[in-house]
Amino acid sequence: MGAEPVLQLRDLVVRYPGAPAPTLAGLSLELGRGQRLALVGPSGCGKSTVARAVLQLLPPGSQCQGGLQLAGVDPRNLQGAALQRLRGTAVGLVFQDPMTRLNPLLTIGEHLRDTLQAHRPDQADPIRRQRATALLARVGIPPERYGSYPHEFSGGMRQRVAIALAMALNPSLVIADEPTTSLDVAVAAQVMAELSDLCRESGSALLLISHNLALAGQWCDQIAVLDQGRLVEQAPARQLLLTPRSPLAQRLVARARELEASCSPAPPPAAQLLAIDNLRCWHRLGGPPWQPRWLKAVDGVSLRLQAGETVGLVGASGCGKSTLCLALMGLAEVRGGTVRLQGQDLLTGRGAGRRLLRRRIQMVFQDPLACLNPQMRVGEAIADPLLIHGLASPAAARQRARELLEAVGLSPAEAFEGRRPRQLSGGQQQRVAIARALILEPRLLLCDESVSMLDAEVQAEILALLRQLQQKLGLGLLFVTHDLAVASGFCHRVIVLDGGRIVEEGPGAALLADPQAAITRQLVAACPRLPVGRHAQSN
Amino acid sequence: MVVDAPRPTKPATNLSARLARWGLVIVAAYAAVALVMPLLVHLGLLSDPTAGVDNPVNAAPSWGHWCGTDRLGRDVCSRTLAGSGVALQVVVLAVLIALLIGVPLGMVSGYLGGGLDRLLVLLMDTLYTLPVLLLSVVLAFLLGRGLPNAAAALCVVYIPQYFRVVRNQSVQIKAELYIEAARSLGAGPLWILRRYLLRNVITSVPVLLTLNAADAVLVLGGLGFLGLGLPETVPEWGGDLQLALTALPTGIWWTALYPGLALFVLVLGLAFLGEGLERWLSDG
Repeated sequence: MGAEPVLQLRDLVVRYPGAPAPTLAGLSLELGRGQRLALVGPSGCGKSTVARAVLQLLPPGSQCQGGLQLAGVDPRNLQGAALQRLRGTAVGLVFQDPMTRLNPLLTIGEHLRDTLQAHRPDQADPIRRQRATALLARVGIPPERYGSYPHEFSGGMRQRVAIALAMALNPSLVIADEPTTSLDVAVAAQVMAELSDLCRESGSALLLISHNLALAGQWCDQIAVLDQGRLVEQAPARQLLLTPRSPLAQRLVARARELEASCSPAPPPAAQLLAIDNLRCWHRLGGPPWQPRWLKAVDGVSLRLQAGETVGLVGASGCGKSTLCLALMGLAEVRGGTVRLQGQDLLTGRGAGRRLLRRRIQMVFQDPLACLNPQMRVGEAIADPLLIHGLASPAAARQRARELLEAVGLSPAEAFEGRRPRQLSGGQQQRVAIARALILEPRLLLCDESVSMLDAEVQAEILALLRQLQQKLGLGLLFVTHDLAVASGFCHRVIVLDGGRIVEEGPGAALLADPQAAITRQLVAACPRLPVGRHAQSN
Repeated sequence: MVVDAPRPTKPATNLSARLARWGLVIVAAYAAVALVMPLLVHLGLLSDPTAGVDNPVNAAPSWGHWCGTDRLGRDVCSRTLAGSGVALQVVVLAVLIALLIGVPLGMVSGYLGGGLDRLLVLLMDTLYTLPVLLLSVVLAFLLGRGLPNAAAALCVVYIPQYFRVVRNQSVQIKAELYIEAARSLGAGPLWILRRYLLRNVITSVPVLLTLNAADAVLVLGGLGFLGLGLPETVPEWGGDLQLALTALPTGIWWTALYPGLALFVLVLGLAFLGEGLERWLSDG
């Protein structure tokens, strides 16, 4: 470890313009050369503000007081070109959503070359190009893809490009702000491995901002817990996860363990709710009419679900789990097979009977904000399904919406019904989406990655809510996720999909302990787990 | 140590707010004049804008006639004031009809897509290529003179503008997840158009509305100047300007100045309002 820390914060106070209280209230942190530190904490604790303050990307009018030293320099004293040089060479930044951070009109090679050109104007063009291809190769992107545009890449590939960009100038510090939240587990593990290896090779320090404790524990030496802009606890990763000292850290670790270790006992036998037989959803990709090429998104899936049961659908991206949901909702084309809901055929029905049957399946989407009309107030949004089906007068629908707001834990309902979706937190938005799905009194609820965008604590709350509603209403739940830990804890039964087919099926805990299929083994291996030590067991 | 980052762009927002306020004041003043004018004429405080038989012809501004009289002996002041009501009526009618036709058409076209969309886009783009004044001149000529006819001639010009903006926004919004979520709840196309699409596309319309209204005032003036649009008995700025044109070389300036000024200020007010609205909507 070098004598001089790469990043040193001393009593840093940051206040956004117009904010009543400072977002960072006296934060002190130190990060030495080559160290890997994770910043964790509940939403809104100021994690991302640290990154913005270090790079001086705070919105104009913000206050930033206290000691801030980046590689021995205070970035606040720099202006214009010097600040830009510092941003590129001393710090590399990897964002959560790589798509929005890449220019859609530049190829990824040009992205890299631009960065190199801006910071190494003296280098010759061929050398720059060579360095760019070397960087891409380093993050696992073949040189043929040099001329590809960002939209031609998958999420994981884009995040790799972002990592290559951040590492292009061998910065002494890399800040990764939730780098894998939008990726599935298997890809996330690969991306984190690349990032971690690159940091080690170039001797860069890594500041990982995450809400996932297990991820932080797996990839970082140190974990710092933040709350309301202050450092609550900092300790070596293993120590903090096994024996957290501060109440907040204890709560966070307990929640994460609860999520991982909870196990749902088999539900009491009940009537069969859903029976899918040999369902096929093929998309036509082209080819001559006598020899069409198909994308077999779902290829012969059969499953049974009884009332009050939760079945988890697990698989890597592109395994067909979302298509299956869409097919059940009637939003994707079905090529063959049967789906029976309470004994009635869901696919062949017509007219009023079909609409009546469809009402019994509802869906909760991944992104609660995107699935709510931004111009509709929450009360209206929840009442809308009743009006769509003409089941109630507007006043009665309003009243019912209020009851459901209370039922999903948003009480008093009067305080929430007048708000717009944007004015709610992520967890509250998802509660609204659940209330909206439940107002039609469905028998089966499809949850498509419904908790993957929420932080661990809120995830646990939403899952508890779903379980409670399930017990009260006898709902069948089809729970789609890429997170095996969540699936095994929450679901009674887990089904693993790969390439549109079921490859493995069984109780979640058994699957985790002894995975059979290759894809299951891969997912289990990729899934970051909290360390288990003697301390934890004696707890 | 306190680092004060550069202040946010306060002056710009202030300027747009000031513009919008001035625009609103101007338009409100015109509307007030339009409402009060008939009453004042009825009470005898202002002379009848169409009666001019017993007045002196081409009289310069005086205490009897504040803005003078034109070559038929009509009071320029009351004609100018009366013109505001006529212009506002035609323009509001025209822009509203354009809105009521263009917005639903754009939404349906954008949301449903397919052949209907292509046909409508082709039609609207064809309309769009024709010069505004030429199109309305032809239409006004075909439809004949009269207030509703002038409004109809104007509205055809503006339908493609609403159609285009709303259609493109509908295409963008129909890919949003909340539209899919609504479909998954069982909502039909009509319901989605009404409850989900409309509210999200309508935000861009007020700006277009005010800017179009400014444009429509000018086109209406142009039609009047060419002797089309409104009947000669209705006091109208464009027609008055046409009459004033022949008198201008003889030094009679008041018949041209006041109607021209009225036209100019109303257009300015509407344009200010539009610019201010645009800033305000894009900020908030």
